[in-house]
Amino acid sequence: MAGASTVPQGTRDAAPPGPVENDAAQRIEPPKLHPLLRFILIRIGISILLIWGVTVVTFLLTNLVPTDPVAAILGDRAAADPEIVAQTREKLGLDQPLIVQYFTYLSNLLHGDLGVSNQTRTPVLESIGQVFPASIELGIGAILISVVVGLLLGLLSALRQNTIVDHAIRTLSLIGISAPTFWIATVAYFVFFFKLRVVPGAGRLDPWITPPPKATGLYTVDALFSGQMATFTNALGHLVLPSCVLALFTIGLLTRFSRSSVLDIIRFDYVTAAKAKGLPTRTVVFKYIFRGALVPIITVVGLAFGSLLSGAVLTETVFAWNGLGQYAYRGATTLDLPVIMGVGLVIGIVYILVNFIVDLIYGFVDPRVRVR
Amino acid sequence: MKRLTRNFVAICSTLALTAGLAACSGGSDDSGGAGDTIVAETAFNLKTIDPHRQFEFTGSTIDNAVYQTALEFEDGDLTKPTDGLCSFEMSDDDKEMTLTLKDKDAKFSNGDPVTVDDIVFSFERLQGIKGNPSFFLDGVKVKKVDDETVKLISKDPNPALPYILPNASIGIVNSKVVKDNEGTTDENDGAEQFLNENSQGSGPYKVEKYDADSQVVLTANEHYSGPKPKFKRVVLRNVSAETQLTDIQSGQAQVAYDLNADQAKQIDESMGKISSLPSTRSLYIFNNTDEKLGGPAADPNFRKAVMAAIDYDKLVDLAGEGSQRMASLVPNEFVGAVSKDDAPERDLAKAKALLKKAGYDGEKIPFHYPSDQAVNGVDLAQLAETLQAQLKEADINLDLKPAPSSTQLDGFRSAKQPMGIGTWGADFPDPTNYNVFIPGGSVAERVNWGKDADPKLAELAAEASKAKDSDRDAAYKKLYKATTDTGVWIPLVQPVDTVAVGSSIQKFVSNADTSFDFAKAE
Amino acid sequence: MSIGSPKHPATGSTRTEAATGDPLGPVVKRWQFRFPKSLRTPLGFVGAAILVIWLILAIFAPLVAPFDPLAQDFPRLTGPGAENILGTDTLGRDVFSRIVVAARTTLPAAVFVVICSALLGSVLGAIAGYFGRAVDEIIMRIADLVFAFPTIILAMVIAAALGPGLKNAIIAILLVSWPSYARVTRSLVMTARSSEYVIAGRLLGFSAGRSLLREIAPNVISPVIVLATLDVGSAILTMAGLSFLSLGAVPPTPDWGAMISEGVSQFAAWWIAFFPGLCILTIVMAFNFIGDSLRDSLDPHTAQEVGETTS
Repeated sequence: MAGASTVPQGTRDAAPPGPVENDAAQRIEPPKLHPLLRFILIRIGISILLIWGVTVVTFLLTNLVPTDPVAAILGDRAAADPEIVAQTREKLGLDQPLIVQYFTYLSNLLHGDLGVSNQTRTPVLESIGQVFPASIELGIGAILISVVVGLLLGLLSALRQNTIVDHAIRTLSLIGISAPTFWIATVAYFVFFFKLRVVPGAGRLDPWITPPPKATGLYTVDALFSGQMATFTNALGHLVLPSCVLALFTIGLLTRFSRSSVLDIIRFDYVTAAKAKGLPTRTVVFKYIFRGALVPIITVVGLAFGSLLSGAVLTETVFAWNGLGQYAYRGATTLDLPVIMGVGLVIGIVYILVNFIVDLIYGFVDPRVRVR
Repeated sequence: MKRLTRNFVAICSTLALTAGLAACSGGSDDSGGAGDTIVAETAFNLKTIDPHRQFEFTGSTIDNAVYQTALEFEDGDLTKPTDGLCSFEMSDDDKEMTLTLKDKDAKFSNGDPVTVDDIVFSFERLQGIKGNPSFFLDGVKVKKVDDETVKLISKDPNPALPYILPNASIGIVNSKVVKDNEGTTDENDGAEQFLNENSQGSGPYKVEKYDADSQVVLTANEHYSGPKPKFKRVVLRNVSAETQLTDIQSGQAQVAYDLNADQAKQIDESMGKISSLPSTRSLYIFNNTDEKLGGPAADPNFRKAVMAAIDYDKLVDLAGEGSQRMASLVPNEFVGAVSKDDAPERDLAKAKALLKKAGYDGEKIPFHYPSDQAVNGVDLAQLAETLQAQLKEADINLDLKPAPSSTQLDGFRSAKQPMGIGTWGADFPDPTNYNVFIPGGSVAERVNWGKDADPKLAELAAEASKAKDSDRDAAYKKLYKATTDTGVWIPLVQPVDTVAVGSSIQKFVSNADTSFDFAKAE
Repeated sequence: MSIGSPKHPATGSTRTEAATGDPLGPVVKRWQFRFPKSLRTPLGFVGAAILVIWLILAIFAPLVAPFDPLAQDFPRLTGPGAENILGTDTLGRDVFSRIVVAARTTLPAAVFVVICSALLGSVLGAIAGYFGRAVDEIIMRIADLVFAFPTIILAMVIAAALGPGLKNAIIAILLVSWPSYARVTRSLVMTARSSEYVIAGRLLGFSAGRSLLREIAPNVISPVIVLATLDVGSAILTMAGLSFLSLGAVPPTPDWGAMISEGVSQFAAWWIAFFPGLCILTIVMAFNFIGDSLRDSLDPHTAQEVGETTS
């Protein structure tokens, strides 16, 4: 959807229009190395160009912000001393023309320096290193839930097309994508934690539990690695509710998506043929339909991951989940420019990489794409 | 301004609350698992814990537990500075203070004894690195006399010095180790990062892990010379007030710093105790005195009309039980505070008459405030909405202009905002800290209230600065009463400092100096 | 979800087609947009009904709301009851009155922002698709860039940079939402441009403007309208998200997102957050239902399927 097609679409629909589907000849055509390589190279080139664009956008955006970073860094007392202000300005290179500042910024980036937060004086890269795994963990949780639930619902919906089951599922999935996440998060937290106490409270672990030794930064995985079962259970417990809330939207998305993919496949001749051959329905469903529908679904999963990162801004705020979203929110509300730039950059890059990977998978699995 | 510190509060009481836990609680199934760990929660306001740079609320809370200071307040009574690491003596002209090393057993967390050299280095580093708290020792010369004595010599009489020295920003660090790690007493100092991760104090705790985004972990300093704390580990977490409430209720956390009045009400006996003390914060409305920038706000009659249009009782109600009216910006418990019986009252008829006199005809006035800030649980956005509704009843129209603190502060600092909400937290419990509000003071400049704007106030200020000892109270009262009468600053409310303590803590000390003392909790 | 997620959640299948290289193109010419008929699905009907109710509420808000939404006249934080049917908030204002009045800012603002971004996006997309080459590259690369940021994060940063306020929130949403229209329009225009009658027109010497407006536009308008309908929902969600993060409408203007954010800090007073959320849910749902029905009539596959089984 939307973004999935993001990068791919741009180039793909540049190709001459015309009906392609059902073109069996093209489908079976063996992959040629040359166009594949060319396809990959082009995608890499576009991705790099986009990442450069992202640096320009983040830089320009934050330069629009009507706030004086020097005052924010120094604090009220020290900012009253013009001498110190001038010194800091010089040290930060803020007395330079904008274009020079941009190149300084770019060269710092290439050296892995994303700047230092105005608010906490912690290097942004270091903080992102801390919070990023938290969001990834939440994202994986949500993806797993939504893939399982979404695919099953979608499949069910497609196989029972136009029955009451289908209508119910479609309606539910529409409602699912209509609810404001932060509200669902609040309500879920209120009901399941505050009233029923069936899930643990906010945060990634109960406060007195020490996080497991850092390997991946995902508490559940790290706890398993170091064999701390109690920590693992605790981390998993904390993961459940926020993942479900976050998954709600992607479930809706995946349901709709897998439904239409499966419907597409069902119409293909080979599925009809398989059915005609008398293969049991279950075999047909799993061997043909599911496999065929997998490609577009990969797209959605890839996309959903990016979208989860942003859905996380609001969910993480409610669940005190110390991830990228909360970090971004704090940065934006306190106008902490280096943080805003860092988060923007990282998220932009993640989006672009995910799209790149999705494109590659597409290219490998579906020859039509790369031929064009 | 905006010093968000709590460590100086002028009141007296040391509350040693013994929670009736024994009586009520089979509920100590606080799956706590906590054991010897205290989990304390606050919404972080934390830039650094290098004591000599630290100027934020959370930094103070941590440094209070990690560093000792030359002087302290007796049982947290902010009117009574007393001996800390040193004993002190003030000369008659208030210009020379002699500090004598008293606690000879005091040891830093690496086992080194605390020496006079450490004290001298700490004072000089505070002054030299030109950080936010450097102003504490402005105009003070530090002079080592011998291995037991230090003299602090001030250019002008400095009666506030004993009230300043207990501040956590003037914590004593291990000079040898800090120097070895790029610490200097000038602007080239490079020890901040080191001090964030490796505290060098002689207090009951030391820093185990510092993460300004999420949490700071303290562990007991085994070389601490005082009584060993029962809780060996303190986890200070960065969470919002809402989460703090649920965490206290569910026993996940033992201390919550930021609950507002409504949230505090939801904590009943079985969950924990609420300790309420007057805060050292003042909330006020500022009015720009420049006619072009301030518009109607520059007219004294208009300002007095605003003062008469506010329903102060409702503000106190909003700020919660324990918050107080103010008759000046000086908190009620300080020397020099104007009695709250003199606080302005609501009088709509008077307000309307004054508005007529001012020739104000309902035009909209931009009203600035930081939208992301709560002061002791008073949400400034809600305060602004309340004020807007109240002033509307007197036909005064405010145009609300919320902005994130940093932007709002930029605007205030550039002296261009006509009206808005300001906050001030005491840096030290002495009326001289409020000199910034009299004409020519650093905050007064932000409403274009220059030195020569009001000769009468200048005269009163000169008198107050000359007053000594018991005369100071009356002299400062007079000064600040006259300041309030101009209506440039309209004092709104002095909020209450609320700390919620979970039921698994049976005994704790909470006082004006330290709202929760980790080392003394049991 | 919602916010920040894929830019056009509900447009699912439409865009898939595009993604898998089956541009809407071939469909467009034979597709005819008949509004009432396309809404004749149960979902479309329910959606339209909900929307109509909301429109009535919004238009007659001053009559419907029992109290002044700004008056702090009641005891603070009282639960739903006889006088204040949905309770009162932290400042003692009537929640029901605030909710109703909030619809008056949210609905027009969302529709306005969608119309603007649809116009902006379609014009840019049409220019890109018609002229191709460098113009196309520049416009579409910029669109890609915007897509590279999650909506809510980009909107959040823009709104934070511009300062809080309804106007700035609208600008922020506009800036992040035009690219999807540009994409769709571009591919539609490219298809239409190569069709015979447009080529014929060009051979006759019609100007680019005439060709775009008179011959190509009719093919583009309907899908864009469907996209826009679905987009109103996401615009409302994004706007609510921004106000939730206090980057939306400036107080004391009642606003659903801001009310939820207030309710989060008053957990015991659940009604402050619960009801505004319900409002957002129903209204976004209404737009998604309607958009979904419209899309079904637009998208050949689905339309075909529906035709096969229901008729």
